[in-house]
Amino acid sequence: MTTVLIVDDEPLIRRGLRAVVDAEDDLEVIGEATDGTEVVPFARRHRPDVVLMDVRMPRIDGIRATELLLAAFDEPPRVLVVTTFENDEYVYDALRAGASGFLLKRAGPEQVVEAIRVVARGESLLFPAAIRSMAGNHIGTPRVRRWSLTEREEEVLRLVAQGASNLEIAETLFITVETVKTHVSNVLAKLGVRDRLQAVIEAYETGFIATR
Amino acid sequence: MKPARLVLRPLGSATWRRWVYLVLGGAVFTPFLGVGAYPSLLAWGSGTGAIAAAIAGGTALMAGAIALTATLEAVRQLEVVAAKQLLRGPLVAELIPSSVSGADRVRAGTFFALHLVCGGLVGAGTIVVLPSGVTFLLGAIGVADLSGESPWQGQPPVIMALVGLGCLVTFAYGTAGLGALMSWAAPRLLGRSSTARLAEMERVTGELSERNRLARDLHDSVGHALSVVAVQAGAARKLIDADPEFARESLAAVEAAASQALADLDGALATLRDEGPPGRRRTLTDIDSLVSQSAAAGLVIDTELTGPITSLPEPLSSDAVMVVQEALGNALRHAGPVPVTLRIAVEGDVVRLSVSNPLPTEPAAPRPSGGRGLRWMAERARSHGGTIDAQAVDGQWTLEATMRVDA
Repeated sequence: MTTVLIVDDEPLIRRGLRAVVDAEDDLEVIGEATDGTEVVPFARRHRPDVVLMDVRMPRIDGIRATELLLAAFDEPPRVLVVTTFENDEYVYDALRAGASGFLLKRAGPEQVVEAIRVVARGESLLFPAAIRSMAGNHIGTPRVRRWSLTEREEEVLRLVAQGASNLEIAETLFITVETVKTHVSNVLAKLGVRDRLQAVIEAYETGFIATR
Repeated sequence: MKPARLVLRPLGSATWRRWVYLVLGGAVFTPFLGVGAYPSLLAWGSGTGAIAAAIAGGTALMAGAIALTATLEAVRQLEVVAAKQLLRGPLVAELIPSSVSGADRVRAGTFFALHLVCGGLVGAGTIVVLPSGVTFLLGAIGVADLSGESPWQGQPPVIMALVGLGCLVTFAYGTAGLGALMSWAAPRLLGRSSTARLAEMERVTGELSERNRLARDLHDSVGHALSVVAVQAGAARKLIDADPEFARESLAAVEAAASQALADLDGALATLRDEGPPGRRRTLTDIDSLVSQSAAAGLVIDTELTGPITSLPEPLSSDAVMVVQEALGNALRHAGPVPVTLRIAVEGDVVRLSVSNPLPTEPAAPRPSGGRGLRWMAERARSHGGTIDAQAVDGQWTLEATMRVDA
């Protein structure tokens, strides 16, 4: 059973999301919070697997709450940012802060529950085009790159940024999925990031991949 | 490599283009010179005093004639075209005002006079210095024979070569220097005045912040309401069989949120239409019209204004009036047609706004909102180095805002 905490200042959004999530057999909403201040204390007591996090909230917003949450636990809950607009600068900041992905509020119930399952498995929810455009809007001059990859790893990182799965990468590069996994974890280690999403953000922000 | 390029650059094509521009000025200068020389011609052969007076009078006459020509609008436009094509430089990127004030004309006239003087110098150089240089060089190699009375007669060829080179170098760099001077002066004297630049900048910033505000309003209100619609409708679709009662409630929420979104959209579009051309934003000078509008909507407003509220800078004044508008709107939305106390005071560089109204007697119907207006007002106040404070005391809701002029 995957446990879920819903954080949103709008009661009607919480109510709708809760109904959608609770209707699934493998998912359960164990709590609701109206803004970022309640997230860490709640997570300490109830250890949710996934936090559905609104970005724009009074007092502590979703970005800060994500940062606090990730700093407070060794094995923090997965954060899924829930947003009204795709091109919201706050969303990008929340992703940089370590969220595992984002979800549009206008996405249907099926996508909502699927997204929760994806991040609960420990995978990132990548929308390559959206991340690229957000990064493009966000980045001024690229940061200095403090890492270097082998040629193979560079290829893998480029494919990851395009949203390719391990299987797709394996098929593209004519290598086994196991080898892809090794490359990916080497890339994550070299970049000093936690997951694929963070790796893609790092790739854009250091200019390793151009945003336009 | 680099120093060489620096030395050679003044000899590039830009200088020759500018030379054309300058000798044009020199050519235009010639008739004025004729006018200026005429009194001296009349006084020719008279005493020194008369000649001196004639020179002074001639110079004044010439300056007057130039000044008269310089202020012609056609001359300004001609100068702009000629300078853009031949001088190039920073003027090319400059926005040239199509209608000009008296001060602009004086600046353009100054540029015209400068063009004539620099052009005269370069013209004279072209007629005198350039051929002299060539003659000296030819003399140095024995091709040309310098005239008999010349003190240069019989000088060693090295001296003549140096003098010849000196003439050419002086001419080239002099032309380049005067060309650069004109090119530097062009945007300053033909471009917009600093006042116009400032006004333009203020207009653009104002328009931008206005657009940002509208974008934020739409984002906050309509975006928010439609999110509720999407989430609730999705939930209703999913649960309509399993839990019809839940689905019914969801649809009621969808209905409420959708009509709220329409109302907000209506408001935003009305703002867009009312905005009119840029530069006509509502400021505190329009407070009376705002108050009478709100009174027409049912509020009974007791207004007290102290201090020089009409002399505040535009961006601050405009934001202040929008905060008041939002507060009055809130009072109307939440409490209905009630008496409202509005206080606006300017003390030194601090603006204090206070809007106070009785709390609604019965709790407001739940609606998808959540202090968005308040958040927006706080942002406006913060951008002017101030704060917002809103609280309910003794059945009275009071919103207080401060803003600073210099922030």
